[in-house]
Amino acid sequence: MSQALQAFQRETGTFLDGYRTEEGILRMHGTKKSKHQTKQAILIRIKKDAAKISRYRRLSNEVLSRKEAHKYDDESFKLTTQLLDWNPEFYTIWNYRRDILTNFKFLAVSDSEEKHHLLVKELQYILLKLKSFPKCYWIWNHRKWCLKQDCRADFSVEMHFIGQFFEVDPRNYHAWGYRQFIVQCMKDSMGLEGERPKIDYQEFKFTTKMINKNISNYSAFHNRSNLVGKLFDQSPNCTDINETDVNLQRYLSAFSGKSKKQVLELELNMFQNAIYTDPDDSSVWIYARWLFGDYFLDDLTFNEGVTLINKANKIIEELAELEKEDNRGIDNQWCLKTQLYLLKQLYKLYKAEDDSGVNYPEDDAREFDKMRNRLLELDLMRAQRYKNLSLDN
Amino acid sequence: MSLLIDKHVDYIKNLFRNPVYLEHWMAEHLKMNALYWGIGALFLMHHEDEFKKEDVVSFIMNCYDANCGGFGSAPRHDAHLLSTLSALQVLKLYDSLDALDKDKREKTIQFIVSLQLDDGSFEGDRFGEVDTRFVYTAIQSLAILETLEPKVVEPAVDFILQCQNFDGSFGIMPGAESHAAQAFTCIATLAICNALDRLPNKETLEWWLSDRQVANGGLNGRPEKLPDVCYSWWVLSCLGILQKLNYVDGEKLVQFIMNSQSDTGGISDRPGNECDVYHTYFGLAGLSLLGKYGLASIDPIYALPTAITKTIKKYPYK
Repeated sequence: MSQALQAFQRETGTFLDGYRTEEGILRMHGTKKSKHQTKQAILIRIKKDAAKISRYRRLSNEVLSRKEAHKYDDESFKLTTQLLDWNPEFYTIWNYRRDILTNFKFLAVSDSEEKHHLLVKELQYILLKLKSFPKCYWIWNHRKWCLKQDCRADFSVEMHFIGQFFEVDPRNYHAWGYRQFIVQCMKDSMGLEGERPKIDYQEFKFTTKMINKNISNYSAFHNRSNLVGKLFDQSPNCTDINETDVNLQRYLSAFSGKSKKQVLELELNMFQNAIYTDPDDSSVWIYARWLFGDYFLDDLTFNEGVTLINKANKIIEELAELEKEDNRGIDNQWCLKTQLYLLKQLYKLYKAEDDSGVNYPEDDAREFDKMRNRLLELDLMRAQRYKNLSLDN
Repeated sequence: MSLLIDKHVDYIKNLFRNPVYLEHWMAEHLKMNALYWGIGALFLMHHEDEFKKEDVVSFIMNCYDANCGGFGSAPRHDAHLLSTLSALQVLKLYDSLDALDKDKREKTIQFIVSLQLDDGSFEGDRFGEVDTRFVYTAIQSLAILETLEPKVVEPAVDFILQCQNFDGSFGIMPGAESHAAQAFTCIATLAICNALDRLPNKETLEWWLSDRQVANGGLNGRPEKLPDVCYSWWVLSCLGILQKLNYVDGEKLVQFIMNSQSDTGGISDRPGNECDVYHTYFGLAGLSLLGKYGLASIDPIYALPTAITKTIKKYPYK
């Protein structure tokens, strides 16, 4: 805050009459620092804002008074629109708007078709607001609420709408959460249990599409991990789903046959492509930790587990060498971290076979120590976690 | 570089003076939270007496909704769990919980408990939004009021555990992507409920948390995102609760926070940006957890000074 403004406030201010966001209560993240303001510039702005403030406060008071009087009518609804156009973060006004819908607007419709039209109009308004404020919790929540009120809701329109948001920001946390909500609505609206795995499969396909588009989409990897679990649990029937892509057909048959080994093999191909596309992007590396975690390994035989871990290790090893050449002898840390983890998981497999772990290859034990020591030198910020790490713990 | 305590104190005091810009009037929905961040920051800087306790308590009680028992973010604004926790935290800071008489207190408890859903989650108000933030705000509110009960705690813990993901961390609800701020609400809830021993995949979680530190020393909230001072709290508090503070480089983080300090007071989300009270508080909170600059020590579970939280009776009650 400028010193001129501070001085101005010391002259005029009293505690708790208001609060200021010019210095910010919670500003949009990443707001660049504005230039130093002179006292004159501040006074001009204050003068300019005065008229707006008086209009804003008059409108706020009017709407809050109507709310307190439980006034539910068209005029009040219109006023909430006006106020939310000023300030979509004013959650109390969204609440009042819902109460007007419930206690007035919905009572005036003659059937579900009319109610649907009413809510479609509301969704159009919400879309407008979300385009300007794509990270405002209250607006997203209002959209969910509207969808729940409409037994004729068109979920395909919602899926299209989410797609538009992903075009702008494929990691929008709210948009992913909203997609999860719509998928659940779609499942709930289906009569047949057997239809549900189809939706999960379509969602799995969607994560594949998003990852292929941009390997750095961790949100897509996250969703993929959930969907893989669901598809194993439900084992969808292949003949119900018309899949033309050969690679996806393989996934589908692995899910339907509940073969974690096959899925892991297929995911290993995806993993290989991803790490070669951008070896420094953490998304797929974190995902790999799950691929070679207990969820998959517990279902594999000892030999299958050992083979797949060694295969993964070899893939990483090859990349690690290329990376080292490209980066003047400096190791890629994600390669090292993941190899370290794989060697530890391998030890766990040997230990499960024979409690002493005596058959664990000595070469692997040596590699583990070597990599751990290398990371201790390279990844200084996280040195302590490598100190805490051993094959045994 | 030194911590500009006097400037930060002035900065916070000025936040609550006469509003003059339109923006000031448009942020009333955050006023109660801002009060917690601002006063919390003053307490961390040992400037507890900058505001008159009676003024603050009277403002808070003006936000009490006598119909439902919750607190709104400003007078006439609807009650919500988020503003209710902030109100109780500030009352606790000023040792003024008795501003709520027996009836009001009972109503507040009712307000909170009635928002718990069958699966153990909480909605923020009667309109159905579910978020792990609301479990935390509800549970900490009840903890401050020392009225936690197994019938509320156990389903809440079950719900939180369902929110753990493949990477060991937590999202806004079951199935939602991990996010460091949500991780804090979940792990701290488990800590308040004395249920940390039920947390699986600790090592994976600890690695995910420590991988939030990026090359410039700052912490991000999700993989491949930019660092932000507020995660100095959300990530660091989790590591603090798990007793793994040394899984990130504290000195580098201190540098990042200090580079985000404005020479006219306040801390921003990252170096060179505009300050706000939210980042000022969580920047200071991070520095406090790292034991820097003689700041009052902060409790990673409650996000309140430890001098205050040690007076809260801990669950399960004997």
